[in-house]
Amino acid sequence: MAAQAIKSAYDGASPAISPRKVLLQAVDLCHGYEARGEKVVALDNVNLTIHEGDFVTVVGPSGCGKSTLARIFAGLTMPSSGQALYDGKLIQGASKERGMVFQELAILPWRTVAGNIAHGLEIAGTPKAERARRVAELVSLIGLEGFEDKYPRELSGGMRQRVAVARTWATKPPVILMDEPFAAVDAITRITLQEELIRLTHATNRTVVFITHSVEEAVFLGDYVVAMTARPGRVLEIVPIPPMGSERTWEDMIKDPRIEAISAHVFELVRGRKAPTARNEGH
Amino acid sequence: MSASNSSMGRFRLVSWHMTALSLLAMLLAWLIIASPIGVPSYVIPGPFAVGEAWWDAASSGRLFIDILISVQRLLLGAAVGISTGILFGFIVGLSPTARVAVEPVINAMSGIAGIAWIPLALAWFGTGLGMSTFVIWNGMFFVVFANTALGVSRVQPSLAESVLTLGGGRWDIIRSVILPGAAPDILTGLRVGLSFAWRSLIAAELLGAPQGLGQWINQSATLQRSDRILAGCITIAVLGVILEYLLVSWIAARTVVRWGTITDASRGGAQ
Repeated sequence: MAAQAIKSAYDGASPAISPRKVLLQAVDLCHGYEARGEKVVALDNVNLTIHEGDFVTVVGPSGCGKSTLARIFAGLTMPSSGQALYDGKLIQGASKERGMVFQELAILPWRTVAGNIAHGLEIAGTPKAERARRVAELVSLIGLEGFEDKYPRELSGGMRQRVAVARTWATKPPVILMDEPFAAVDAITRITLQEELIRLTHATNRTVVFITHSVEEAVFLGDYVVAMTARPGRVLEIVPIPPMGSERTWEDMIKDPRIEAISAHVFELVRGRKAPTARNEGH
Repeated sequence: MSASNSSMGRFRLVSWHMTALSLLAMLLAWLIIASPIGVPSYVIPGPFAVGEAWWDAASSGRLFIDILISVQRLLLGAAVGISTGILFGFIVGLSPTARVAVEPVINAMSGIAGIAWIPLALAWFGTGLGMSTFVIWNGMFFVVFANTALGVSRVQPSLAESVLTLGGGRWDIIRSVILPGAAPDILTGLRVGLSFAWRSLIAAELLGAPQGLGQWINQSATLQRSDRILAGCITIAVLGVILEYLLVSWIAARTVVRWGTITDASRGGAQ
């Protein structure tokens, strides 16, 4: 598969050469549903392989089924046909192994910052002392010290999004699915959140599937970008991003001519102006 | 919020000042209406006559026995009405099948005036606690049920889904998402339901239950003591306010108001 080829090219460049485990797989995934009597094909024959430790961004216009893809991987939506696999096993429902950060803010208004972050740990039956330690660790990772006992209504939009991220991170799920999590915050806060997310992911070594409709966001965050097209939702091309390290910033990225070229390429892809690069055909 | 309060404080009356002011205005209007230039005292007795009638009943201890009996009936009926209303509201709010099966029947029944059941309730339960409990349940159940079902059904679905992806099950969702999420509507149901409960109780007492505030009013009517009737009505109103505070406002202040999932009207909506 193309994604695999890309990853092995990266592995070749890095000193450690151990083939990484395949964590998520979409095999001939199709999904359709009816909306107002009309049949909508959200996903059409999507194949995708995601390895442990990957930061994958999925970008496409609205209606390309990218959110549906995340929901299928989360186990919240069952595909019409085809298979979604986690660690080689068929995904048949939601699981704490695949955390999700939702598009609409999914933190509980009736729980404080600490209460929201501790929620998954409570469900898992983590002892109180361990829970408190873990919450304190995450609160400091997202920079919300002093806000532990605040309710969501007392926080800014960016702070709430940090809580949503920390809430999902708390139980250390191997896979984290993020469905346009920063779409509702202002542009400047979004950049900060993106940089924080990169640091958090590298610090905690998670596998992340990040859904977005913003090409810049996809290129900035991803190890590789899955470019999708709409109606029917198909994977057009998987575009690798040159390794930028965990300290990548917007300032570095916009100055890099390679990034500029990749962004332009992805932008043309998702707008349907350009045929996919030959080596990645078949997706 | 505290900042806006202190800067606005000089120009804005605190909410309880407004309540006190409107009560004073009502008292003043009552004084004028019941004065020699107003209506005769057997039609509307003045505040002093009503106060005297209240004091007579209170100092003999008779009033407090009636109050205890009424409150006991109310609490029992309300406990049954609230628990069944919330239970059925949850079932219908969570299950589309249950909604289709049960809701039309419940909605049809809710249109029947509670007072219409009282003769039957007397036949079924006699004049004891069973009768008043049934009548209060009937007055309360539908509004608690409807509000709970509404609140349960409009909890943001992604909140429940987020619990699933944290490894939680159905019970975790009900406890940590549905119940607090539906709390604003459930509390609205309780607030309205409690006032319905009082109306039902007084109706039941007027029409047959021995003793209680409704019966006291009934006897006063036979004796043509309009001062005592008004004293009874005011007692009911005050008891209603106290119970509403203990059962609804107290809980609301510690839950939905604190969370900010409803706007607290008593603070003038300043958030």
